[in-house]
Amino acid sequence: MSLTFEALGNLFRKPFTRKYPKEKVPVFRRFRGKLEYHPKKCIGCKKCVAVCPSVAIRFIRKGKIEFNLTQCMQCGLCVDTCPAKAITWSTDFETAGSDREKLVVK
Amino acid sequence: MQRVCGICPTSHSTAFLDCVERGMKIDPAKKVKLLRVIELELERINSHMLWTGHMANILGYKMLFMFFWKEREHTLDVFEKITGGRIHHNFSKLRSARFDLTKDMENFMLRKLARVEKKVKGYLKTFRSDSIMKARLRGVGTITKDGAERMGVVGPVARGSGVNIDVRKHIPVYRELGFEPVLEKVGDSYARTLVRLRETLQSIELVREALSEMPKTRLPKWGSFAGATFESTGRSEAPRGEDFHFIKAENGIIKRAKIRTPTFSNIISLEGMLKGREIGDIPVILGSLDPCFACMERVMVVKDGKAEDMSEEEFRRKYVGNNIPSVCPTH
Repeated sequence: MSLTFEALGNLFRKPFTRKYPKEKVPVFRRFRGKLEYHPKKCIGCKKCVAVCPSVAIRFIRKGKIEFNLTQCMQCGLCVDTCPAKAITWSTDFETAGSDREKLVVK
Repeated sequence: MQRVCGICPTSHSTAFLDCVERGMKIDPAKKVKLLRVIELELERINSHMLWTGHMANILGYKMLFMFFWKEREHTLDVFEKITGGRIHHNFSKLRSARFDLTKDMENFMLRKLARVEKKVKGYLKTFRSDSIMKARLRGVGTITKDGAERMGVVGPVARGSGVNIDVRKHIPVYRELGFEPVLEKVGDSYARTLVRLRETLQSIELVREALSEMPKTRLPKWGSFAGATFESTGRSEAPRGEDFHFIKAENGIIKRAKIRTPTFSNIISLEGMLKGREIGDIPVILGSLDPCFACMERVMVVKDGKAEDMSEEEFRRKYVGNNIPSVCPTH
């Protein structure tokens, strides 16, 4: 019986779902989206390469590291380990696309 | 270890950390233990709501399904706020946790949980009084207490048959919170449904108690198991039952890992439950076991209708290649 009342009440409420592509979803502060890399802060210690469980990080030289997001699983070990805080999270979660090259953070 | 399952990632990481911490003889601080309790119980609320909605869907109650999943959205919001991930939380760390809870987050959590509790209580009343639900669920897929003990089923399936089995009652921090397993006697699909709904309410209560007992200290620094040599076991109570991990590590490198997932031990009882029932009851019986296929799946290579039999080295050489790292530095 209570279900009927709730269902009838829903007739007069706004839809619970959001019209996503038009209406952006706000994310919380701790959200882990795409990685961000700040080359100027990097000290070239290679700790992130050693710690990455899915081998998504390629070290070229100090200040030039590539993060392959097709392999990244957002575990956050590189962010926690980096002593110079050169790797941070962004709140960008729209990583789907048709171009693999766009998913490499440099 | 989070990636084993998408519905119960925290129970896998907790079992793994239990295993490693036992092997390295680390005793985490009380605050860390309580944070893990909160994570596990939120995950249980989440999983049981997902399951009950799915069960309502099987029974033909599309509307109730929508209602349950709408409430589940609120618990997912809690997860996103406190851990940063909706599905994969990555919250636990060796000896510590990734983040601390702020006052704002505690209030947010309590507000959302109060809402969920009110709704779930109403739905539980519906499940208790609705005659169609009773007709579809009562006496369907019965497993007796004796049968459940013999089959070795775990989790809500065993507790629905009256078997008092729960990992949580052996964990000291749960005992301090006054935890008692939820039991039903009959052992049919209806009993399992009631166990899960009552456990949802119990978990909400446990989260509240854990929050009230949380010490106001700072989080300890998280460690790594670089250089550790041990051979150890660990377990935790996943929403579907006991989750068991075995790890053998040498000099910080994991040499062998074995995970015994709960659905794997529950699904064996399916044959006895199906005997003598009608075709229309199959979705209800299979659904009432809460089969998670990430829990159940094992690797099997089938070529030309024949299963290939191979050793570990052959499998590695043939299918894995050199992409898998042999070193797992922290967890």
